[in-house]
Amino acid sequence: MWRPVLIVLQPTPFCNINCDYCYLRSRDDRTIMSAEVVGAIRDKIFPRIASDAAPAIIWHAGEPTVVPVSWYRRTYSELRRTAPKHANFSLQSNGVSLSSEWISFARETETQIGLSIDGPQMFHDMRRKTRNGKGTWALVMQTLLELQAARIHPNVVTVLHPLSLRAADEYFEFYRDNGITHVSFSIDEVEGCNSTSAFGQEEQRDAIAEFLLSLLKRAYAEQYPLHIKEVERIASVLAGGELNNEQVDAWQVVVVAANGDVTTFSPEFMEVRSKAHNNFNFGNILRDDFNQLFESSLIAITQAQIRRGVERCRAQCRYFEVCGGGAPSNKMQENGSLESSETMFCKMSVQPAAEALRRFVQWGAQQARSNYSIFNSAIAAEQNV
Amino acid sequence: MSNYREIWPLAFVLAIASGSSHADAPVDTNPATFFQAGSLADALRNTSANAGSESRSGMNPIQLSQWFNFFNCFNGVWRRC
Repeated sequence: MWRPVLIVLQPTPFCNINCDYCYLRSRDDRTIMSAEVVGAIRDKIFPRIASDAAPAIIWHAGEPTVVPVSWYRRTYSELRRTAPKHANFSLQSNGVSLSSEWISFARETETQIGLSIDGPQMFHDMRRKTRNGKGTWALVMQTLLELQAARIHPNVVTVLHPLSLRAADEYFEFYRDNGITHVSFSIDEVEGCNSTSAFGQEEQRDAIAEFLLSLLKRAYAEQYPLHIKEVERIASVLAGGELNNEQVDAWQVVVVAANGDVTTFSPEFMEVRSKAHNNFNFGNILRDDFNQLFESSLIAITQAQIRRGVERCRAQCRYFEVCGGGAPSNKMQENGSLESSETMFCKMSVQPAAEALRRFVQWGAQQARSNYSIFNSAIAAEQNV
Repeated sequence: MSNYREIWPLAFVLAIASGSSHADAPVDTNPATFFQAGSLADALRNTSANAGSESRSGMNPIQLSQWFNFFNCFNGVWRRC
């Protein structure tokens, strides 16, 4: 049976804000996923999934909360007819229009909420703006307070700017003072319609690693449980957990766009243009049979190219065992080939997180040695007296 | 601190590295060794077995790997949630 780990559903491509680094091409498109597409997900996707599978089903890729809660009520009642029992629903929001009705709905349906907050106000408002160009920090922080009052503690996605890297203390204090315990960091990558990154071509891996390390040290010193997703994913692999890079094998990830278009591997493939790969549009759920999608020649060709890229990573990269071969969408977008290896995602996300963890552990060992040495000096001083 | 180690597992890893957790095997932070899958598994396993009497961390290796990253919407490589 099929065991996808991630199902990304796009209720609408539309987004009600206009971030400087947004990679979504169709964020002005107000299409809402039709009842027919919802029905096709219910009838063509969910029944194929193993009954004991536990995929994460995520509303994403546009702002999900601009679609009325009433739409989600109808949609959940349809999808839950065939969804695997252990599937968990979540949504990623900019927090601007997440109303009290939404909060009640999230509680009722146990839908997990993620908020996009780029740290302290100055950093957030610099790039996460309304369509009139105003900062959205105050709005999302109000939503955070309302969620916390309802005992919902969202995980937070923070996109870093090069200036952020000199402000680790401000970021730590921001998370601590606002009760944020689960954070995921990324950078503004060259992806989709975002053609430039604030990080440019400059190698800033080390600065990001130091930024993460500073957060970890502060968290430890203050006994604040700041969980950094990228670091803990790697810690989990080092602790003996299974490494599963879901983006390198077909159909571990499935993405259904509002119009029923389907892609797999990297969710961002929806935004990547490649004539040879039919823009990574592997079919449409309304039109195509899923058996045909699974066995299509385009999937086989793409899979073979991605495997060659993974093998290149395996041969060249010392972080391979904690990564598993990078993100195919970044390889295509940045290097023009799925068969390539290192990308900005590697240099600015996986590698700094791995290095931050290694240096944190190294720091722990040094602390112990220095404590031991202080202890010995104290004993020597006492003996001299 | 033992309670903190349970809610923030990296503190537990740090305790192993610092030698304050009675680990049998020190953690090797040389990149070639450290970045091997499972490089912390033995130290964590030994420590959690030894720590049974002083904390509630007596867990098996499978639980240890699941101990991290328990809350995010999706625990894989994809980073947009």
